[in-house]
Amino acid sequence: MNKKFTSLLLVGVIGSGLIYVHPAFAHNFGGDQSASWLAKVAEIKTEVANVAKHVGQQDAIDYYADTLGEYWTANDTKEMGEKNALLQKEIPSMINSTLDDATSGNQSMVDNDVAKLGGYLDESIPVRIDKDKLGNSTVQALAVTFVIKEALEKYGNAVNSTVDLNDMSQMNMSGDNMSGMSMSNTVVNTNAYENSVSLATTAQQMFHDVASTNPNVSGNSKISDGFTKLIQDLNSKADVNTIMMDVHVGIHPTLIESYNIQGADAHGTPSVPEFPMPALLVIIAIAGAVIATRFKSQIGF
Amino acid sequence: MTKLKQLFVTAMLLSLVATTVFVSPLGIKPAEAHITKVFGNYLVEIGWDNEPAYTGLANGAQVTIKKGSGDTAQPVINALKDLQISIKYGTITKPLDFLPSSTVDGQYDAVLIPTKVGTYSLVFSGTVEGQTINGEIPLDDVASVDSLNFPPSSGSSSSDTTNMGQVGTLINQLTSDIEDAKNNADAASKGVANVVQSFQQVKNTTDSLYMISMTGIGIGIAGIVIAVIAITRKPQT
Repeated sequence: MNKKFTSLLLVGVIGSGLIYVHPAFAHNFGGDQSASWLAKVAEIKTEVANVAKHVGQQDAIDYYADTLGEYWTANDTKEMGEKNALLQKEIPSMINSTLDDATSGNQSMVDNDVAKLGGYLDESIPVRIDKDKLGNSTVQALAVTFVIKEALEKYGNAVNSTVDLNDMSQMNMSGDNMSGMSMSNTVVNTNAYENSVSLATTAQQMFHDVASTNPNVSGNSKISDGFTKLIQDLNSKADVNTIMMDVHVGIHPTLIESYNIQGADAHGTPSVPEFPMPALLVIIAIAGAVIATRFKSQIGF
Repeated sequence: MTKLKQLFVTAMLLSLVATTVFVSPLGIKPAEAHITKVFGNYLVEIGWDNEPAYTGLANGAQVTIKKGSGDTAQPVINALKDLQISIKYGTITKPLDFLPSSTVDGQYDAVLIPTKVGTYSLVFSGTVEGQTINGEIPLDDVASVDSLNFPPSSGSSSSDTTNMGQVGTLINQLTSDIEDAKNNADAASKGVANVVQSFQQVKNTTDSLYMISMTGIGIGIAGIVIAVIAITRKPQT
């Protein structure tokens, strides 16, 4: 009876190992300047909207001043100048005005700055992106992934995670916390936490815009559900592994497949398949079978 | 007194001739003005980038949108967000891609080369900050570039006609060459797309093979382990 049960158990483990096929591949994004610009515009709009929520709060303003400094660099100003001198001057100027007015506590001026900056940023899109790329759903979907990447990075900062949330290889696929990785969900940086939620919400909105112009794409519903879960988990301050699973398993694979996003970076580095889970399970199962037969007398068979 | 009268008449005639000589050329030039139309609290000003506009010369349609009235009107940033603008000549229309001006807030330009003499107009459809902007606004008439040519490029002399014929042939050849080059570029582009697709297929196959081979290696290792154990184990009594 014991032998039959053990045999069936081992056959079950081996079978599940062979049947279970994990479809996700390690992926990274990059190399598309058009998508990068779309993401940059969305990120700056998100950050200045956050500044408008914290008028007069210097700690939050300083945090968002740093993030805006990351999103709009001197190089962006230079490159913008090659296309449009007015936008080259106005965009950084309006970012600074927003921060200055927020520091001085003038809410109406900040709101005015945010609206004006949004207009200039929108105007920069057709200036920087060719018309055919602007209407390309792959470019738009790639921009969504860039914004998600920022949201993950900010969540990692929020909980002071030792894990790089954008690195899939650091994700615990089984969903448990046995790997020993730091899977903290205690928020230690409230500004970064607010920032991660707002960026994820922006990415969700961007995806809805893409989906509404591409209603026949089969994966839309699944991706949309993925975003809903991500936002819920962020709001409930879930552990980093849950957030990583939401993105790397719940959103990315379907987004990549549905919108034909190539999993290669700017330098053409190909995506690398993960270690095949079936092979690992088969090895463990066979090792189990060997141990069971080798020491069956000791374990009572 | 008679001499004085004659002098006065002569002066009058001279001034009339001077007026005819110096002023009338301005009168035959096309009108040079932007046109402003009011929609609710918004001003829509249109015109050519370069006025007067002539056929065959690079130009552009220019649209400026402001909110308010008079000198206090303020430019609207990103005014064309929900506004589509086409250019119309006779019954032909073409949507224009406007880009924000490099110098003036609320001003947008679309590059264009008018090819025919006559009246062009911009057709607006949409909204600016919720204000409906629908309608057709005429641009200044486009004049023939021939009025600027000197000496005239098309004349009655046989040498001019011959030159024009040669130029025409050259243009046809150039057009044909450009068309060929375009076709070649399209073919090359398709080739590259096919190569990328093939590469992707190869990559997918390689990924699958990688998974299969790793599974095989795992089973193989386990088999070797079993074999070693089977060989080395002591027979049970």
